[in-house]
Amino acid sequence: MKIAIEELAGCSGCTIAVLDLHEMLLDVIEAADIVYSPVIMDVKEPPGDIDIAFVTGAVRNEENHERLKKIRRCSKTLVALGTCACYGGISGLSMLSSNEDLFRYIYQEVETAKPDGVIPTDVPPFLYRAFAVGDLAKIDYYITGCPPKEAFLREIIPAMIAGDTLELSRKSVCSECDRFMGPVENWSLKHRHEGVPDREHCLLGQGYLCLGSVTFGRCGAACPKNNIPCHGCNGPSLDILREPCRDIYNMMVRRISDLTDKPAKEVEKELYDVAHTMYAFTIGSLIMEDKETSKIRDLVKERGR
Amino acid sequence: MDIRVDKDACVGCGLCVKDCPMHVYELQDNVSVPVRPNDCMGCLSCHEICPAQALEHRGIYPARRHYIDIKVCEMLRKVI
Ligand code: SF4
Ligand code: SF4
Ligand code: SF4
Ligand code: SF4
Ligand code: SF4
Repeated sequence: MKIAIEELAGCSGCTIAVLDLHEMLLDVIEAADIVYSPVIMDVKEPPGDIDIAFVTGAVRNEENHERLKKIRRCSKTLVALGTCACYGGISGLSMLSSNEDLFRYIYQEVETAKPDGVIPTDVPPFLYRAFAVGDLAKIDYYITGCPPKEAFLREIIPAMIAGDTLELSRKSVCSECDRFMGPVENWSLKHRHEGVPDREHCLLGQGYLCLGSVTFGRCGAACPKNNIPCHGCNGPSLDILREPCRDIYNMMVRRISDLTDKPAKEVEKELYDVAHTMYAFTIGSLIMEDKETSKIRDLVKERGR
Repeated sequence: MDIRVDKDACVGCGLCVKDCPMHVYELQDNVSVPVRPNDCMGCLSCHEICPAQALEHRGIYPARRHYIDIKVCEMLRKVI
């Protein structure tokens, strides 16, 4: 059994998450050889006979696209690992700026830019948009999470290598959250830095934009359990992925409106920076953009150029 | 009607209580309980609004569905 991990436009956090298996890694390499992973070993190209390849990161430039095609050709099973690969993830947020603006910012405007401010021409050209890997290649499985959490990988990776099947919950983050709702009165939206939420009640009910209800679980509601609203890093819950008329934005507005008895229009007025607060992890996904009710198209049009 | 509530998943938000046109649910100790299951007309509004996907109606399927994109179906089957 040969496994590999390919890196596209991401932060390599997903590969580090695999290393977070710690001593369990010993069992993994007993059962399988890791033959290629640019982050953890010095092998430049994938061999042609990989059994399971994991691909992390989105597709943002031509090199990413070539690498994706190559790893697909080289592997029997290709698994999208992490939210960048599954839905574009944070790499997709680059679509909020034009390519020219991105290059200018990175090579000229940030503090660490070289003093000569030359924009290099020998880097792979950017594509016109970001893509999730499933938009461009056939994918056999999707494992979401930014990064996928260790407890989840500990279950799924050994099972994949052994060819076993697992029964896992397919519900939202709310289903794993230990908070309860309690009364909601005089609701108004709070920014994350405002106040300190109480530990018992639902964060959404307390006015924080917690995306737990529209987000796929598997993280054990890690953020709400640490008093931080969920920002959606596992990608959309499966009902949102499935239903054409449901989207992250409209279901959040509906739930807030039902919960607070405020008309949806009033709720919408209170929302801020929808691109980053609601679509931070899905903006680069064609599947999420193609929904009738998705706001992604407008957000990209508004900010680009 | 056989309505199941996943008690561990339910966050007690009461949205199903509010949204059910037939008043099927009541909140008891922060968990939704289907107290009038036989009044249910199977509209599944409660499924749509429940933030925790805690509800299950045995043997009911929505009669009319929106067309679901083939790409989405492909992906749905593969999310693990
Ligand atoms: S999903 Fe998150 S952890 Fe993984 S590569 Fe993308 S940004 Fe990094
Ligand atoms: S909205 Fe957030 S805080 Fe409320 S139940 Fe869901 S995950 Fe927990
Ligand atoms: S609670 Fe939300 S943001 Fe936090 S790890 Fe889970 S999915 Fe990600
Ligand atoms: S399916 Fe409709 S009628 Fe039945 S419990 Fe749910 S909301 Fe009420
Ligand atoms: S909508 Fe779902 S989470 Fe809320 S009370 Fe009803 S069953 Fe529980």
